Amino acid sequence: MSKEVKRISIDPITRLEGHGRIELFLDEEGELADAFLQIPELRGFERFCQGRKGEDMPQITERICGVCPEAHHFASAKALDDCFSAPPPPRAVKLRELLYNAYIFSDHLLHFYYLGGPDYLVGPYAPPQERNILGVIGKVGLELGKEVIKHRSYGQRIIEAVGGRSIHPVTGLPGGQSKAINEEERSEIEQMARSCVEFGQATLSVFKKMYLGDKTYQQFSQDEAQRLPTYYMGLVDEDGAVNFYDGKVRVVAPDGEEFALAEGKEVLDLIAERTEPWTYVKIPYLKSVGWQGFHAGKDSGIYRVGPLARLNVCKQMGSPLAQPEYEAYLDYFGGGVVHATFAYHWARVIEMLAAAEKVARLVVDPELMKGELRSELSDPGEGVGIIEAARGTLIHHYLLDERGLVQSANLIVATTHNIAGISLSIKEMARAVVHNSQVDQGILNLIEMSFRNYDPCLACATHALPGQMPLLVVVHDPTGREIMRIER
Amino acid sequence: MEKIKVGIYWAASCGGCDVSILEIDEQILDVAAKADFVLWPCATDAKYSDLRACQDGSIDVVLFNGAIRTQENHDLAKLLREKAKHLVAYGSCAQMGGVIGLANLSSRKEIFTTLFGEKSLWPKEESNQDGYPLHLPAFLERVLPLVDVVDVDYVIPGCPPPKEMVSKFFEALLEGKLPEIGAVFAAEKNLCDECPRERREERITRIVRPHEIEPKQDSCLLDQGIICMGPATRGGCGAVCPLANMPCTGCAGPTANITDQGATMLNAIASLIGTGLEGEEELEAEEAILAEIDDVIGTFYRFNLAASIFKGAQREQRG
Amino acid sequence: MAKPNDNGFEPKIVAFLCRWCSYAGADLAGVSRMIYPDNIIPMRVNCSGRVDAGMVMAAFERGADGVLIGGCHPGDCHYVNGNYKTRRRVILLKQALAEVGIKPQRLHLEWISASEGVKFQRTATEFTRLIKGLGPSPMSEDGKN
Repeated sequence: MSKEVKRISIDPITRLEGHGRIELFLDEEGELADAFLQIPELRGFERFCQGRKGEDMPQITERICGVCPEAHHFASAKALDDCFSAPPPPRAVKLRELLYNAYIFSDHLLHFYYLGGPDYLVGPYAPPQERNILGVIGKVGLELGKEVIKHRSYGQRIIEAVGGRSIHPVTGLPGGQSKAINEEERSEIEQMARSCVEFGQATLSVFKKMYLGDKTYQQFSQDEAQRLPTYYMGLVDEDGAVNFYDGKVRVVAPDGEEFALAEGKEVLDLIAERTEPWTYVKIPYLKSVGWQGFHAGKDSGIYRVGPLARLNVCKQMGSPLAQPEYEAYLDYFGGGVVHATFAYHWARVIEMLAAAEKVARLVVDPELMKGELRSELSDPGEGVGIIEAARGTLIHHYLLDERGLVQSANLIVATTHNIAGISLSIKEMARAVVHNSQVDQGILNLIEMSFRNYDPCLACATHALPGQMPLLVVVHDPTGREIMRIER
Repeated sequence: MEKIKVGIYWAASCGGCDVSILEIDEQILDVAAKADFVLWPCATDAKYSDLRACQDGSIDVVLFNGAIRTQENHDLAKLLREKAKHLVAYGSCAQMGGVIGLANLSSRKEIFTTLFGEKSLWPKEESNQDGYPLHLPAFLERVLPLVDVVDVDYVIPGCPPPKEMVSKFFEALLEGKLPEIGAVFAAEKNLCDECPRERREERITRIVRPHEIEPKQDSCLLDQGIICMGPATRGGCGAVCPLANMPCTGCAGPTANITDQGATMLNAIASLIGTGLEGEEELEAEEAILAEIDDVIGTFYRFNLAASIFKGAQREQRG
Repeated sequence: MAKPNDNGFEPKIVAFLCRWCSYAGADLAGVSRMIYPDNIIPMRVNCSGRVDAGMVMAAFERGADGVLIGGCHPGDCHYVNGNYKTRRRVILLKQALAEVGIKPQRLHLEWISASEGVKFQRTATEFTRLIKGLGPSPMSEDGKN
């Protein structure tokens, strides 16, 4: 039997990648009773990847997401490198890193100006028709607007030069890359990279003026209810620096203590998942900590990924211009682990600068322009590839047969790790802003702003682990009493 | 002067088609000067309630990307057909089901079992969480192209459509010069026509996979034994994949006179294979070459399985 | 659902026969009063090489339970090598059929010359028996349930 409740739907949620719906239920006093993020989309990649040729996987799996195809393409290529025991030669690695950092720059730029940005650059209570990139350009002016468009296109052109295409690149192969870049392309990229570094710095200035100077942002970035003391996960290199392309997976506890440092298959052993009947996405959590329901803390296995997480698990940015920005950011939030969800936006623009710096460093590296592109392949087998997508840690795990065909594919995709965090953030925000049944489009937008922190990619999210992972399902009766618990 | 109303909608989509619209760079400002984006969930805040409230036929053009995978996709396709003056199948998924059409090789049951395990763990269309009723759209048994659900006026093919074609489309729209209904925004000829690689061989003497060789730069990939879908695929994309030393995978769909893109390419490969041997030796050699082709469906039907003659897997009644 | 070997199930078998050899062989069987199953629906083509993958798929899509292709013996093709193309196509087609879950035995290629009326009769009879044993094609009305 249903409770007497008023239901408000935000349908669809907007300015993110993918399909989602938020269902708000109010009690008799008009206060929030509960809130659900539902993901009504599912395509089933793990199923139809079975039987495909291994070397086709970078191009097939990148169709999981057209906003972050580079992440899937190269997580896939890295998994294939592992399947064929063929670490790529240095030239190929540097080509991949060049493309990859340009992708991070471009994707973070997209979020800052096109997706999440309009809420602050135009204003959270602005009319809905203006809360978009065109409204942003109207507000910041055509000159800056054209710089935004130009620098996104720079990122895309670098991806195109190395990857063959700007959306859904094609050059990733087991053991290396299918093509190199010529000197003309390299020189052009060098100029674009310099400009991107400057634009990264300019974007940080825009952030400081328009976000740190905005009352709504100030309120929510300090708000206790918008702080989630979760665990964090991200890749770091051997110097403990943020590294989007490669490294070890580091997990820290809410108090900053190192919880795990792992690579390859060990990473998969850290994670378990649960299903809920009302959404197509599955919800991962840290297996050894356990699932304690939708709340954050040391005893709860909920963890987060993406810019906020990476800046929590790293010891340094690894980039000279981004480093002082990182230190100022830590300072603002009182040092130690940053739990404020709204800090995601700041972490993201710091990473945007760091990525641009990395492109500028790589493009003048002489190893980029000489040497082999492909390594010798051994017989195909099992392999894992882990990379940091813009939105968080991405894991591809394949089992290939003796002809190199896919027997099974496990994919843990960035936004999936964040589903519990996003659900919590939405609920806390709804609780804070919905009173007396009063909702208008501005209040509903504030609720959406709580998930936009994470820059979600929901097409990606509906691809969590199948098969071998342990699974917990809890079934409640209409009064909320637990009636069945299924574990496997 | 009243602005043109443009809607951009994604069904079962990866979002790449939405991003492809941004690849026209500054031209988007010209578009914004003359057009309003009245629906574009990726980039703007219009909701389904706004869509339902607008008049039938009031949206001048709707660019519909993504395939029909769920009941929600199906319902939105119908709704958008009513609200749009012109409906465009934008991208491979809308045109022919796309890569996700490969899911048609499995039943819904098989997909859900792989993803979620046993039936009691599956998401449900109707559920009740702590007393709150929640609904999920049904996952259809098969992926469908848009044209299987509603009439389509134009097609802009590609995965995603190349920026030259997107640009061309917007130019035509803004100038009020849309072509006649049924037009496809791509080349009329196949990819081989614009591919700079040179075709030298008469016959294919071996089949290899892209990671097994380092192909010669200027020579046709098919000549070298790599299966390239170029002969059965529309051009207009600049042959970017062969230029990157990778074969065309057929994302722009078939040329106008082809019914089934995969069947056409299968015919072409079969015709092209030749060993120069005679008698029994020839037959044995041909069999050996053909045995190197794995995953026929994934190779020849990567993007168009849902629109092919078979549309997907069939189920024999007896094991 | 029609059970295999059930008297009720009469398969529909489309036979693409090349006019120079196998169709003539079928004709010979006919005028010689050789009995072969009327499940066979003959379609005359100029060459077995005319039978492309799309035609075979369309035959199954329209409800054929089996598809038989008759061509000239290797070396005897009126158009030199049309039959070799057919053979290579059939190899790939069988793989495609298997991948979509249709039993590849439902497609069969046989070399039948103009003078081989007996061979035509035997092929037609054996293939019909095989298809009866397999049951209706999953794409036919009976097979779809």
